[in-house]
Amino acid sequence: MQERAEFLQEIAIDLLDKVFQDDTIILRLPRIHLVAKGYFILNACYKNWRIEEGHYTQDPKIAAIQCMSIATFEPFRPVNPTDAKTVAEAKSNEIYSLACEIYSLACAAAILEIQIDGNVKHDFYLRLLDVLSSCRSETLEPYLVDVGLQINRPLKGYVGDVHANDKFGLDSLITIFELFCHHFKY
Amino acid sequence: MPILDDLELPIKKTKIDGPAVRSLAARKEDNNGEPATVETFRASYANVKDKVMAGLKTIASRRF
Repeated sequence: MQERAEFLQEIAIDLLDKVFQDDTIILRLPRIHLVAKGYFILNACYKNWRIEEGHYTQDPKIAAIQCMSIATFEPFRPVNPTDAKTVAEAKSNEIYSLACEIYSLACAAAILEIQIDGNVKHDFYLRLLDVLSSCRSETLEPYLVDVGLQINRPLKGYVGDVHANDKFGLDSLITIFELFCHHFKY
Repeated sequence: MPILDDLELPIKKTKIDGPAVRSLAARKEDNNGEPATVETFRASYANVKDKVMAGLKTIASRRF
């Protein structure tokens, strides 16, 4: 988990260096560890729900679960949250989710490259960012509450069922990412 | 023929239950494959990082 958190941190810092360059976005670095822990909890819950014993989580599912964890812990925020003037300020965590998909979906880069170089589909990306904005995991709520109260419990204690309200979001994201993989594999 | 001429008002969501509904809700998916490792992720990321960051910058810098 530590290794994953370090990798997620690298991606976040790359974003600050290469995408969020005008100091309008703040990275709350310790929250990256919460994202990694949230992924661990939600993945274990997802396995209880939909994965056969002994099977591994596939790439589109990894991407979807990662997005839900990022949306829940929001490691980024704009400096001025009530006056967002750019897509970056309005959707920093969603853009971080897109960047993180790269590592779990080998196709994500190909999609971005194709669409941007072809000068098309801004609407597609903005719509995708809107979808990501609507995701937040209620399964992770007990862990989120304990973090807020600074209660430390073993993560396994939070592993149970996927909350009913998360199932539509997870299924939707997994479907989108599976389509990515099928259509844009490079 | 199972055709109704009646609108069956009021119109409301039909709640369906039964073994098919319960089995579908409890179904497992075929997830068999290789385990994902951070090493693999890191290699995939390094391979495409620059292009993707450039693409994300185009999206992110749009101003309103």
